[in-house]
Amino acid sequence: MYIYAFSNYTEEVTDKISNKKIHLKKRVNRADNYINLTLLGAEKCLADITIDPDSNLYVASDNGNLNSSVKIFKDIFINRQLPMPFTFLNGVNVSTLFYVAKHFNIKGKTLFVDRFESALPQAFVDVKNGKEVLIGLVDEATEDLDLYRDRFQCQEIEESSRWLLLSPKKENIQAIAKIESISWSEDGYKKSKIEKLFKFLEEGEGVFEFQQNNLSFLVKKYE
Amino acid sequence: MIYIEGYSLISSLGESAENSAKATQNSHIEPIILEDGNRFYNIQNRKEGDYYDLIERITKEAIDSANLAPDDLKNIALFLGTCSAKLPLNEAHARINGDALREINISEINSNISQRLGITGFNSVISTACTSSSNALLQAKEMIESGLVEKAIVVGVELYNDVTLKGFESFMLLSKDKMRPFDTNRDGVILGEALSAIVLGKKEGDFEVISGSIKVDTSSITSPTPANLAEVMREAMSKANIDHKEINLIKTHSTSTRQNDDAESKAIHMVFDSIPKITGLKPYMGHTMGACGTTELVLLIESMRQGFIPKTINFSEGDSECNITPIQEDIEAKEGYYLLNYFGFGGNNSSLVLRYKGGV
Repeated sequence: MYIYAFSNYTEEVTDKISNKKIHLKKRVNRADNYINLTLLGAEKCLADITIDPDSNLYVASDNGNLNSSVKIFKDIFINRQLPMPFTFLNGVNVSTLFYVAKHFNIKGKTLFVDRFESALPQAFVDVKNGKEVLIGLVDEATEDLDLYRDRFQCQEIEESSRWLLLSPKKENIQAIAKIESISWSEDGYKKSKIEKLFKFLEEGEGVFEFQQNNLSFLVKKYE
Repeated sequence: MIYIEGYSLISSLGESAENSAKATQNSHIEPIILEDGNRFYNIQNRKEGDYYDLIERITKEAIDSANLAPDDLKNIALFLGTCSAKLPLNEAHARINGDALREINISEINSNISQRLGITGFNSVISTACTSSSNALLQAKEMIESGLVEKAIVVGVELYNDVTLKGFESFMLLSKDKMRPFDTNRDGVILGEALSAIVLGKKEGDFEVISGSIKVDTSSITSPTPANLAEVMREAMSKANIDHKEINLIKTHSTSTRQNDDAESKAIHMVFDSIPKITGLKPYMGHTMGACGTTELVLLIESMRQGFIPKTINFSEGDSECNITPIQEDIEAKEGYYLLNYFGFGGNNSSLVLRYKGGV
């Protein structure tokens, strides 16, 4: 499985979450912060690339769409009213998939999964079956930063939208790196952190050994 | 070739697959009416704080049904398809003080169940609304075929939560009466809760999951388009190398909303020049959202194991726009090919082809 493009969009949040919409090449009506963050990272990954419409799409997230969830909970449990229809819709994970697929004219399989370690092996199977796969790892902060600090027990807050374009080997196009030796180990609950993988793709050389939870694989970067 | 080696079900119809299937023939459990007037198909005898216990139970029952030994759980994949995810847990906090986001990381569902049952292989939570567990099933199938894992357990989980109910209410999609697939008087969905699990593997059995297709329809986020639904069905059958004439029966998604049944029926007419027998199972136990993929599959195959295919209840007057009459009496389960449709919000659609090797 080969990496043909990637993006490593991260943003430190100190005061308030930024307006991502203004940075998008194509804006989407009714999209919330999570969907705009997702699209922003994906646009950076596919900057000069037209993806095959038959490609598959995975969006992985540790926490999903936090802000729409907060709004929906506030409406139902505090204000005792129905959520706004499109706030509810944005909070359903398939909406994010829908907007990314529409943005890049993807017609294949689209799946929202719980984490990177869940998405990558499934993408590996797709690539083995000859498909091109776009994977995003997207996590947002809440508008209420104190709420975020409380729930995640942290002081520093970062939003991230990291993406990989994976594919079988292509003729006449040089891949950035190759992923191989995907395996699971029973005792592999080490953390090598996703950000190190993307840092390696940006600046590293040689081979990077990824191991997170019980998934491990090697990334061999080309000159 | 990938077979169903074991399965389990807890639904509003009963606390096992066997009882749920039998209940379709005997008495039809009516939905309860909630305080806000909405209808809902609930699992009976639920206990406070039973979230993880129920998921553990349904997974364990499927493992036992497939006669898996502890060693089998070393290289088995655990796929969980859910739309409600941890909403029931979060809502328990919210009911006390409006607190949001107390339970966030949905990976913890699988971690918890894996630890309880000694499952050590790959695991994944898939959350694509109504297609969550049907997509999980097809992903599991492909992962076994790729050789990465020997077997997979696919669990569908949907438990009562206000967010989905109120969200559907905000879109005015809820029925005030009964679910009536393809009926001219249909007025929408009744939601339900269910848990179901399926063990997939290569050990030959009566039910083979032959093929499937998952595709996104980006025409509209809320309304499916017939051409896209037709394409998903065609691809599923093409991957199975069968002609549409070989399909014995279609288990439709049929949510009983005007738009969805309209689009699904038009898609069926586009694919099939002669319409096979059709049944919709949601009127028995409601739309179980993320769990409906595995739940309706288990209800169908357990009914087939018992020798019949359940009729579609509540249908009385055909809709000329749909021009589909689902089966009005239980029919004999015959050997052959079955097409199962799951069409969801956000244009996330899947179909799968099942082959039944038992029956008459």
